[in-house]
Amino acid sequence: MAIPTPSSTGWWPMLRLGSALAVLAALTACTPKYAMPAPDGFVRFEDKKGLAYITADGVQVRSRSVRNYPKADLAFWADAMERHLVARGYLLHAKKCFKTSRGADGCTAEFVLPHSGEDWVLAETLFVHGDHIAVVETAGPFDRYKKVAASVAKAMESFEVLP
Amino acid sequence: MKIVVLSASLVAAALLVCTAQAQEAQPAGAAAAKAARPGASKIGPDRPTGDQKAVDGDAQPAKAVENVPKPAIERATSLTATLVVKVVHPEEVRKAAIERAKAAGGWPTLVTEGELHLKVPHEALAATVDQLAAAGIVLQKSLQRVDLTEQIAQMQARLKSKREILERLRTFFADSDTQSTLRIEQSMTQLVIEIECLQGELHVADASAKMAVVQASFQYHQRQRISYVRSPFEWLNSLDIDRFLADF
Repeated sequence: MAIPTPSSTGWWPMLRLGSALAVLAALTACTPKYAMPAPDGFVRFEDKKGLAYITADGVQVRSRSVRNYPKADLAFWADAMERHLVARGYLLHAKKCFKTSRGADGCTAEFVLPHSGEDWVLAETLFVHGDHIAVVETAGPFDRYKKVAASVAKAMESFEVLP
Repeated sequence: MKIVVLSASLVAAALLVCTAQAQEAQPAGAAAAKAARPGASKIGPDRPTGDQKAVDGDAQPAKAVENVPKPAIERATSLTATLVVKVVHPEEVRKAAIERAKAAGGWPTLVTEGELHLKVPHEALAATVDQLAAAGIVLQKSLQRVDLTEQIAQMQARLKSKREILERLRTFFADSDTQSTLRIEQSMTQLVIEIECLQGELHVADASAKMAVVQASFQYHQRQRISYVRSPFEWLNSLDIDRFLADF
């Protein structure tokens, strides 16, 4: 009597595929989802993962999630981020911490940097929630960014982590 | 005999021209100069001699001199303020800054898309810099101060000496023959050239001491470069403008 092997029966590839799907599903389930209204003057990319907005003249807003590891609070990460980017040569010219309408704490730091022969702004907004940090990044040439900075800041106050 | 005397005078004058700068500190040929100056001889008799001091009972003249308050020295300085400021509308800020500088008695010396250089009176410097700074975000600011007091004092002394020599040379014309007159004229021409040069330099230094320079740049990218620094926190290494734009 022949002993069935995984390759002869075909159940082994099915098992591997199933496992991969399970891991993927678990990962997807762990990735937090965010919501934020489109700032004035921005349109949303519906098909992109996470939040993604853009103005007609190219100022971009994008959210992503990173692991809160080693686990620390918002003040720690805001400080670490500022030090790191300043050490790289970015110029910090504004920072502001605020509470969202849902009571979450957030901190925004705006950095000026040279990019493609122009002065650009890279604004990083952090929200720490449990094991994750929501990073909302805004970037654009300085003069174009300044025109929409207030509307982006207002939209940040409505940022929320979806259950 | 006259020719010999005139020649000697010309040689002395030439020497005085060469040592004009040193003359201010310790005038060369002081005795002769003093003798030539009207009222110079009065200085000696007016000063109390050692015997007179004893008679007057002035035992410590040096201390008495020290007690006289010295006039405060007014420093002549040139000021240059440099700032890099980011503004949303550079053309509006530029226009407002030029108008303000003109109202304060200044003027623009360089106006380009990214640069603005202004000359303003010293007293208007702070207000001009503050106005530019308030219009945007100041990325860099510096103030350079150069003391011109000594330079101006030296030039003024040299000018004074040369003018005195010129006046003295004029007095030689009365008793000179043709040959000597020509030599005097030659010396005077040279002196006039030197005096004009010095006056020009003095005007430039005076203007620098009165008008401050403001150099405003509306660009930051020329000043700094981004370098790669690794953070021990892995996700911080992903904060980067190029990565952001590539991932969008």
